[in-house]
Amino acid sequence: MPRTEHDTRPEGAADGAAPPLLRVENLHRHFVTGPPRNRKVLRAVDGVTFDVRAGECLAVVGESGSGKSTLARALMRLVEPTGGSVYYKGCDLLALSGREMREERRNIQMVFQDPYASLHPRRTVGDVVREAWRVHKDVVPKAQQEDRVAALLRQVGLPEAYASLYPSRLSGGERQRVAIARALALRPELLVLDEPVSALDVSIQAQVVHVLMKLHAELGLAYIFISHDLNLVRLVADRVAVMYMGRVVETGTAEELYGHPAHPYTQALLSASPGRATAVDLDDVLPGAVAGEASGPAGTVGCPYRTRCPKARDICATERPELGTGAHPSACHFPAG
Amino acid sequence: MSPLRDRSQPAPGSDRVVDAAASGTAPLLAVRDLAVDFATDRGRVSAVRGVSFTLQAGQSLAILGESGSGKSVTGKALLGLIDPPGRVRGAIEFEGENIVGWDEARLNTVRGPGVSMVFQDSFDSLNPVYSVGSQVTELLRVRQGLDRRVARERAVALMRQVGIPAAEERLKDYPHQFSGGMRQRMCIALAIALRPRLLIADEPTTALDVTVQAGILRLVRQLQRETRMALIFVTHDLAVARLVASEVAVMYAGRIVERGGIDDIYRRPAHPYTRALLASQPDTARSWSDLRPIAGSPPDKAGIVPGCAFHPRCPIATDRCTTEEPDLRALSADRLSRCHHAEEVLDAAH
Amino acid sequence: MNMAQELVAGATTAPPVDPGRRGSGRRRRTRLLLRSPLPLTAAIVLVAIMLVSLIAPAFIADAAQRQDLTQRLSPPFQLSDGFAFVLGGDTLGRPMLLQLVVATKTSLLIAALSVGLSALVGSAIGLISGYTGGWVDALIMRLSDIIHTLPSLLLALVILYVLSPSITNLIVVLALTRLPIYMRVARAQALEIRERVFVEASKALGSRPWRIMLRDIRPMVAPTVLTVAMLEVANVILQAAGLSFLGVGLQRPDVDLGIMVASGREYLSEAWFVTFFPGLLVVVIALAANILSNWLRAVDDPGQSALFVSRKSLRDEEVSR
Repeated sequence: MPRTEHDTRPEGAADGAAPPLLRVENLHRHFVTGPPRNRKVLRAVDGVTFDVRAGECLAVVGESGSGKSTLARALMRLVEPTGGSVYYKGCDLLALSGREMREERRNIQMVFQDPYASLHPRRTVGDVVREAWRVHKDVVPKAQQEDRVAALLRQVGLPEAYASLYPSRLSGGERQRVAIARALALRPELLVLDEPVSALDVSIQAQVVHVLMKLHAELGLAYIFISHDLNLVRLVADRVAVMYMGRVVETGTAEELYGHPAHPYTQALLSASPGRATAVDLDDVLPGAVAGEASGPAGTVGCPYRTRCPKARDICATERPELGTGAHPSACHFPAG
Repeated sequence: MSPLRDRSQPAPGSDRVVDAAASGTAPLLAVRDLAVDFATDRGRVSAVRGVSFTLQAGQSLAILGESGSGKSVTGKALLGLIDPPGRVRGAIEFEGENIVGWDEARLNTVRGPGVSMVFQDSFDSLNPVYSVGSQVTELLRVRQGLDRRVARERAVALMRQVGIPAAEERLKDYPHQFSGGMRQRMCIALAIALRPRLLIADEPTTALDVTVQAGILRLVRQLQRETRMALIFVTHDLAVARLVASEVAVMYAGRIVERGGIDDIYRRPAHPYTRALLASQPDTARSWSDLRPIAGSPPDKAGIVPGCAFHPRCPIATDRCTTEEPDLRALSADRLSRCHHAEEVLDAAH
Repeated sequence: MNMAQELVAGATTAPPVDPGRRGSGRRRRTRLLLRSPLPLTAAIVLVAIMLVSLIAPAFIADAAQRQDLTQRLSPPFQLSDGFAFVLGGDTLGRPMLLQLVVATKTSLLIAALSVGLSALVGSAIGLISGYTGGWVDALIMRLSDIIHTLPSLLLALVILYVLSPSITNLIVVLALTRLPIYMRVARAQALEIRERVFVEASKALGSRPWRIMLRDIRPMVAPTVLTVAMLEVANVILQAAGLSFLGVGLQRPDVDLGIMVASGREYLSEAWFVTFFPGLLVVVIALAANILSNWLRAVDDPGQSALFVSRKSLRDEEVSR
């Protein structure tokens, strides 16, 4: 499959001309929990809408429990969404049969957070990569598989000889690169990266980020980059979506969002990130907001962030702010700037 | 007395240096030539290979290192938590007494009122079958002989102190009913219940969200200010360490490779490893291409290379580095580095 | 500077991986076995018994069946009548030693085949049950409960009484009664492993359910099932011997250890050795298999407090990992 070699990233607002590669529309994933008498609905993903354009890196940031990992799994149908649509090049993935979906999977691949858990422990590195071609038999003919494995390993910066090793012999960073090679084996156009470096040592994170961003540029791959690390996201993302309690509360280009965060939660996240400001005085960080935890009021009325929000007014308890449209929308009644 | 000296370390200036603040008083903690190794069926594996440092009351030191650097083992050794087949050598002098080799009963006189510890995993550190309230009151009753009512009052006060809202009602709750951040606060409450003079925190916020982390770090600092407690903060994240500690000891392959003031080292590292670590972190970079990965693999504990342990990954290694192990030597009044080319590294920084 | 090149260079200059450093599971087990005296003894005994009973019958089958009434119930430990009679003669004057060898072969064969059959079928059912979940799982597990609640010996007795006793029927019946054990083990493992990330990764590639079961989950379940099967060998030998003893198992002229014990019971007072030697052999095999499988289980699960694995050797493993 031919690839464009360019490295031009879409800047600023949507030009509206090209249809998005992936469009997620009003996606929901609710879990029903608790004993039969006292059912509770957990809205892990609660009406998420966004676009990913070809060759773009969209970061989804949020803290644990914000629903960002469930979002990744729901749009890949690794958990079935309970509502909404996911259009890949205009085709609704959620309407596909199991067989059709399995075919479609080659276009969207995933890299998981924990490289110690995501590789089969009894399969060599080469077999991990080849497994993709055993599932999709028409991608690489048998005779070329060995060369292709070597090429993929080279692409992620691993020596070809690693193909015969078991994952237990590799370091975390090496394993994650194997996982990336596996994801590339089917020549996808979109990679969903679920916290791809957060399980790794700091010095190793940079290696994996380099591999990912090099592939992003060279192959024109689109990324959905899920992370809690705002410092890292600033370096890799074209656009950022901030999630809080299953909803997107702010989106925008990385520059806009870091330069002029509009939502109070985004502001809180940024000011709490270590290393953002040099010699941060913790006592000046985030008055009020740090004491709370990501557990907003239940139900669908009002703003879920209002209990932690320093700007909350009466209207925040009664009316749910919607994420607007435009270049830099935020779901807040009183956005900054 | 030589409060800071590493194994076979002749540098004469170093004693005065890092203990400038000491002004003649005996240190709270003096660690000398601490070595920890573990027996395995392939021989002994060294986790810590000769670590020396001192700590004054009220001082805060970050021990920075990646997984396998020996930072956590060092922290555990200070509390006498290394069990066989682990073996501890060297001296750990806490308030003048060497606790290496003490039995459990004797160690327990130091643990709690002397040294206590907070771990990364707050869930594993609390007993799941007792309410958090009973865990705190039990501790106070057994160790301080308080009666039930007073212990309860102290427990509520402690929980308020660490910022747990509605402390009175939450006494009856079990660990699983707390969120991660609140559980970690509870662990801190337990750790400071006996008013320790030294708190060792081993990656206490690694598993937490950034906003929660900010709250915990603020709490630790506040406690330290209020009680003049000394702090050893074990972490892999220099940016986090900067928020609570004023000094840092960078560890690599079981040894301290650099030590000094944390902001100073952050701006001008004097060891290639520290420099590489800083260059690989995203917080000061402008684009991903500014991130500089550290080449090669982390050191293998089973086979320490001859010469400087970092030389296989070091961009400025020379022949000397492959044969002769550098000492931890003083570069200035408050900076130590274990590198033959420390001056070059320091000068290159500006 | 080209970072990509630097990366590749960095990776290739990494120290070469020493192939002996982290042994595979089998290597590690062998190494540990060589240092644990009791399991090592058990393994040696088992292997010796297996070798002898598999090879020898080819040469001695005829001699074992030859009846010599002058040797009827002749006492053991006398070499005057030849080495074949060193353990005495049985009720029809056949040499005990040779009979024992042949009987052991049959007993081991029955045990191996029925254990193999139930392990294969049971773990397959358990795997499907655990992975699929839902009503399939519920149905299969209730079935397994039913088999489990019936006393297995009684069940086997009834079935064998209705069918004609033959070696095939014996193997099938023994396999059937032990089925639930494998179903449960495999199901429990499958339930746990299907939640692992590598299974999710396989789904993300587009694998079908059967492929995930066969290629992703099965290799993870197999070692546990093998350990259980090892333990079951002892149980099944005892059970087969019991059934033969009760007369619904094998029939003469086929001979297994149970029949040998049974045939001596009327002569217990005058010829103890006719019952004793086959009985002893059953105990030895069962004990050795038990020790070995318990040890295997403990090796694979360091959390288990095991009598047979020295804690130190396990701890060393952990540290060096």
